[in-house]
Amino acid sequence: MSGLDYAVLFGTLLVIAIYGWWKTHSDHDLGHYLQGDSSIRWGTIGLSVMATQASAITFLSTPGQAYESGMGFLQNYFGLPFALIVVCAVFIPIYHRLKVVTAYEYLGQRFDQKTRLLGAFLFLLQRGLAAGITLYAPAIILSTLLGWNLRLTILLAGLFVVLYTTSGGTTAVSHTQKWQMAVILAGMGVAFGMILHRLPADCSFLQAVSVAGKMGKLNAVDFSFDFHRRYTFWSGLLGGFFLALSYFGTDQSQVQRYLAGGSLAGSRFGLLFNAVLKLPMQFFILFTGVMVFIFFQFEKPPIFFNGPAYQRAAQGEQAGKLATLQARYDHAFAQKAVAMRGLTTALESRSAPTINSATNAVLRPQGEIEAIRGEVKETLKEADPKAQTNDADYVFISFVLNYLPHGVIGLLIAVIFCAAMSSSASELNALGSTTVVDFYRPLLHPNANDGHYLFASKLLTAAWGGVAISFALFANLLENLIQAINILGSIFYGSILGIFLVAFFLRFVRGSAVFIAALTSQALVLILFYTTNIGYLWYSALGCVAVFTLSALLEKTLFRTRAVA
Amino acid sequence: MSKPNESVPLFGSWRRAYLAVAIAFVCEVAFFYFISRFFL
Repeated sequence: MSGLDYAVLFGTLLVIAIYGWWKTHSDHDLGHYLQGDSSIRWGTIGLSVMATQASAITFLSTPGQAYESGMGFLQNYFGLPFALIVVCAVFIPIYHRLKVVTAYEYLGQRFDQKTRLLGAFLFLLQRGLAAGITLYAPAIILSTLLGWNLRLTILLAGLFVVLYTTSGGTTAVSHTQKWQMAVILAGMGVAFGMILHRLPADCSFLQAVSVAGKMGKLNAVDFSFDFHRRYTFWSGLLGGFFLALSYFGTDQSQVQRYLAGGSLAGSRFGLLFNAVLKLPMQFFILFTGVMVFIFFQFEKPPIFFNGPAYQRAAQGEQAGKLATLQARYDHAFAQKAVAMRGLTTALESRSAPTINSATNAVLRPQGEIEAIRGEVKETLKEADPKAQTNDADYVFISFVLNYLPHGVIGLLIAVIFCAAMSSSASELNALGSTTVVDFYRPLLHPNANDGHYLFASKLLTAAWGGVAISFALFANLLENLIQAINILGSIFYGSILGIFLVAFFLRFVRGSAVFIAALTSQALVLILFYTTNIGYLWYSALGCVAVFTLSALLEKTLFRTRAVA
Repeated sequence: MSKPNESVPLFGSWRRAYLAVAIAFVCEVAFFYFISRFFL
């Protein structure tokens, strides 16, 4: 990175953080701090919701995922528009009518205190740890490739977020996210344009897309009914629906975003904005990854994208084996490069047999390349059993660092930091608010004035920032824990959603029945997780259906008997 | 829940707004499917 890149990077991050602080530092109203003010309109809400969901990993991993296995991941989001319609039609009017600050406050009003605390506790547990990973995940990748100090990277990004989130609360988070999202979209647009610009002069855009299709990278929709496939149209539509419904309907980091501003129409339009634009945005990010793949059909990519990890192994006992693999890889790529020129020429001929023959000529060396990369990963594992052999997260950023001009590199690194900071800010804002509204105010200090709660909110937001930064600083010692948190996050959502759906639709069910049903269903989901290998998208649907059914059964049997007795 | 007669800018009612989102979804998936099959 050059001085220009650092100027663009720090300039972008500083201006946005200072803007967030300046816009809100003189506001001392508790309501504004927790719920935002009327300056937050639907456009800001829409971008804020989008920025909260799009973390840095979205921009690091998603293009890499498309590079490796095509665009099937897009189906993950097929249930999202319908989930957002349900949130708009059912959840939002209730939250607005009851004037709740957190989603869990509603559970207290509908059921009882223990159900409210269960919902809030699960949120704090999951998001509190996830907030650390939100900071750690991009920092480890950037520090590995750029040679930055990992801890300094985490500290700087974390302190920026804590500064403006603690200072300005919800209003600051929403306004900064608007500009962070603008930087993200502009940066990704520039990156996409630069990739197309870097394609060979004799390969048009349509030819590039055709090559991607021939190589199986445009498989965006799969209608097969295979439960073991991770992404299909049906798992995306049904599983994705429940996952999105629980995330947008019950996760305070999102609920706080669309309740900001206090207008029912603003909340709904902000979410519908996402319902329409989320799929095109994900398509665009995945398509950018596919274009990086096409670029690397003409330009030889590294055999393993995490260069420093490969270099370490290449200097150890496995040096000879890796050199042999490198030679085989170079040979296979040279064969593929020739075949690729043949394919682009064949595409111009528009003759199906010629195109099929040219495609097969490309796929043979491509298969060899994929096999060699698999062997490289096994060799890296032999060299260091703890080595991370998934290099998909490094694909896009390696391309950016090695092939884009200075200035644009700084902008793209700023995109990644903006994404990390916007997600973190929502998390810290929601963690601080939930701790004050659901725990501190009702349990510890019920009758204090607004000034006291405002101070407590700021203090607790900063404290959660401290927890997130501390966890991120030591996360490299806890690799297995990180994986566990990510998994637990996805399998907790179903039960939490089940509690809310029972609250909305099963009016006869009371607190104790839903509380026990939620705990039992969560145990059931955990057992299924450890004993079967169904796609993770299904767990949210299963957990939700289990809570819904069990709570109705318990209320009609066990708790009804008790009531009669 | 939502009031059917509530006037909503651009769409007229929330039901129409939700219907517009569903139609947009169908168009988007049709486009993705077209891309998947056309360039196969």
